[in-house]
Amino acid sequence: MSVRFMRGFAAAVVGTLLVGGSAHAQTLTVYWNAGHAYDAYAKVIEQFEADNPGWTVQWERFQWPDMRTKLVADFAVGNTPDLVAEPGGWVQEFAQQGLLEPLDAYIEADGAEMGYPDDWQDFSVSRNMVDDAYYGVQIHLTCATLVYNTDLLAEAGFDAPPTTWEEFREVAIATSTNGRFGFAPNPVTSYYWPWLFQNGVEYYDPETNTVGFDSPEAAEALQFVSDLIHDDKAAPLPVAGADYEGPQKLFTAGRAAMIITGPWDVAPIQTGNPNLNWAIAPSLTNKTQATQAGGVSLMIPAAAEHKDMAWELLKRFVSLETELEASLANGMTMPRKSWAEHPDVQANEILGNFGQCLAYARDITAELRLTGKSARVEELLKTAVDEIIYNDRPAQEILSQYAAEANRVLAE
Amino acid sequence: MSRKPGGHGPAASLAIYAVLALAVLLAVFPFIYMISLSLQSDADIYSGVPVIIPQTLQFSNYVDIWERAPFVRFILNSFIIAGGITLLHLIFDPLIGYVFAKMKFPGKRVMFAALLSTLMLPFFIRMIPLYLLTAQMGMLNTYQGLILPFAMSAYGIFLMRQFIAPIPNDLIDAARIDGANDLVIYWRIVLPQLRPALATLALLTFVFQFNEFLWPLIVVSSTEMRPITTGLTLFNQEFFTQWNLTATGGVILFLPSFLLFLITQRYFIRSVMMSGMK
Amino acid sequence: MAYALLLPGIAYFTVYFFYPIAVEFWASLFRGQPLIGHAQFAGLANYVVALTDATVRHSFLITLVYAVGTTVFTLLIGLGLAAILAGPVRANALIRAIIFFPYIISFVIVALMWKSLLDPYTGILNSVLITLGLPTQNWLSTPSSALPTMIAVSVWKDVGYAMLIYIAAIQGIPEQLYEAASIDGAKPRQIFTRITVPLLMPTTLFLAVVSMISNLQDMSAPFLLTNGGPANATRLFSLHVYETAFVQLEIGYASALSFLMFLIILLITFIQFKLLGREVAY
Repeated sequence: MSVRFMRGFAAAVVGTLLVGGSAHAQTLTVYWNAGHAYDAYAKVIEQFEADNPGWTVQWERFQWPDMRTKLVADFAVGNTPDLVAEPGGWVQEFAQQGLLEPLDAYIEADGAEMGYPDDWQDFSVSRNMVDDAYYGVQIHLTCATLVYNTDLLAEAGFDAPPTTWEEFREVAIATSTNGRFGFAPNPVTSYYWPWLFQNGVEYYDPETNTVGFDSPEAAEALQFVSDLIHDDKAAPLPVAGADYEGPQKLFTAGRAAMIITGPWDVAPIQTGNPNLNWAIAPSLTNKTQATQAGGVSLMIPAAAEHKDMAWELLKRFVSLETELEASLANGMTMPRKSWAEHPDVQANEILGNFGQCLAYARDITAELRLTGKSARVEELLKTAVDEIIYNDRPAQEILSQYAAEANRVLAE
Repeated sequence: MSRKPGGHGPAASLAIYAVLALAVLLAVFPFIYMISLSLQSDADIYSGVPVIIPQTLQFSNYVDIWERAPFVRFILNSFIIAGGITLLHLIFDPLIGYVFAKMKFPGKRVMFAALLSTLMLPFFIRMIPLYLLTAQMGMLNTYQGLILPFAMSAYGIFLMRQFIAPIPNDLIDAARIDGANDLVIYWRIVLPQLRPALATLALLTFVFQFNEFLWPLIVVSSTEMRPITTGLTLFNQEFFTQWNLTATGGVILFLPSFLLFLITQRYFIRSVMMSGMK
Repeated sequence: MAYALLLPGIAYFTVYFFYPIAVEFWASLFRGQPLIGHAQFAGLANYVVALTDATVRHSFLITLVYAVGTTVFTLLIGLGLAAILAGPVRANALIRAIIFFPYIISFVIVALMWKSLLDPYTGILNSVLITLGLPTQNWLSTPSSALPTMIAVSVWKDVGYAMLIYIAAIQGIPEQLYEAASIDGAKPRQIFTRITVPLLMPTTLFLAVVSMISNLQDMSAPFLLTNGGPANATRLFSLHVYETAFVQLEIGYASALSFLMFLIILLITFIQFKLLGREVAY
């Protein structure tokens, strides 16, 4: 055997090994919400797979409660996906249990280029941090604001939407005629927070480790809504359950004059009743103008197999171009400051109007989550609100009772 | 077929038929509504106005659903999983039911009590350790992983035991005297009499497993391995349910169970008559 | 020999039931997040806390009401329908099949249908009531009416199954008994209550036991129809345990709660066997 042949043979073997190695298929598992399977994201995934031959993205989509069940089971077994979208709050919750990968190293390397954290609305950054470490990146940022039926208001003599609580109540009562309601409240507890925030209520005080929802302001806020339902008969009892559709359906059918909602309801309203004349208004002001913020964040489990690639994909999902494309096509508001200032966004009626509340929107449970007990306190608040709204119990009494219990839990 | 004794006067007959009519209406109405929803357009379902007969029947929903997701694969998966589980049940449940019904052995009562007790814990409590087990056995996202945890059930065994118990012991004792062991007795004597009971078991097991949601949610990690139940959840938006497509899927989900019911109906009704739940 | 035949069964149940149950019992001895995160050993403390937990007590009570209500009505209505349909009625088989439908449709789907039907503002049921001039109901949306409505939906789902089992059993009763009774001059109602019902005791026992066990553990009904509301009026025990484990991540406590429920179901089943276990022979 000649030396040349041997060298050639060796080169061929090595070449095959190398090629064989890189031809090994790798899968990146991503958990997403079924309702956010936007074309823009499908394109991101396609591009990612094209740029990274040998990689396939397993884009699994779920409803939030199902994803919660599956993710908790995954954490218990150590068989986690690589990248997960969460509806808000899970990042801090799981980070506290040590289940998420801290992103500090990634952000240090890539932060400047991608604009994190500077290009993100401030509170969208802090809500994804635990002990000054980054654990998640916000991908959608939403806030709920007033949406009203211009015809119904005009019929009752109002050519502009209400801006204060008194005006709101006036409008609600005036438009509650002929089996219609002035305002359709949402059963989900987070929808009571605009009222609470507007009355200056703080959920949690870290200094005293107590909750603030037993204050007179909180009672006033909840009593206001309860009275609208029971005394003024200007609002129906919300339909019990975990879904959000009730108010939108009443609104679309022209049976409710006002609802509080976010950009997600635009498509159903337009599809359900294209002839409806409606508009978006800023949130009300009582002691202050405020509303609740929400939106999806992305996180990487600590037990993920392919964290680096997950980060690469994450960056693409939250890039400005992706945000623009996704938001303009689907009416979803985004967390980047540069997004909010972009001319296309400002020119878009829906995004512009729903985006304006981002300036005064607040994350409901931010500080509470850091106690690790937010789920139990939330449960207590939910029961309290339900008691007040469904059983028409006096707000202050119920709130004081449940706040005492919450404080007890916090003190454990 | 035995009859309920005595005749009915005309007034009683009318009352009876009225009751039956009401029962039928109540039973079938949500199902009719589901069919109606499956033919509605997006505009109908978002409009907030309750619709029973939509203005335009959107049959295209039935076509769309095949295109929106790998629905054929979902149906296939559902059949494989439910079918596999039903098969295993048919093999093991009657056999174990026979042992408890016709054989004497120490610890029988304790074991039967332990068996029944397995029905008394909700599934999601066993779910996480089961998930761990399945992962350790390397069966995640596989048909085996979906089928094996449901290979037998105390409910099926209990049901079979009730069906087998009334079989006359003389037959069995005679066979024993002739020297046959229990496996042979089971195979030659008991099993042939169980056809209706097996049909019942098959129907109930298949229907139950066909509609199973939680375990497939946990153990399946790729869209292609989903059965219909978890596959349908792909059609919902974050803040609202895509009622029409979900209903379309629901109608499709209903059909196999219904067909199986029609096939086994004649056994199902007569089944207990032979062995008698008395 | 029996043990030889039981071997696959023993293997299966040990692996797939008793091992997971043991793991869960172990988890119930911890406070916090055993299995996924930080946890502290607490012995039987979880059980003690559960016994004084007002939410748990409330949940258990309404679960009991729900289970008893659903079981009793399912069996009563099932028996009534069976009594009618076991006999010569026109379109017998078709009617039985239709009444059995609800049992075979996936409850996930059908619960959504009911929820839509029962919506107090946009649901069909109330609009039908309005057309008939009757007052509308709040169905699932008021604390006082939510649980009864849920019981009604569950009965609706299960009644066909009970009916079919009862029909089969009724048809197994020997004709001679009925003939003899008729000859003696017994009226149909007497025959039914004195002969048919007692002879159906084993069937009733089976259905009652199986129904109670299933209804006490029901999570899909509250989860799909009301998510436990309004104001926790339908927060059945399994739903409470599920949320404690998966939403609040109190996995240790949730495990303890499920074991408590297990013991209670065991007790209730035992009581049922005692009450209904008498077998009648003629």
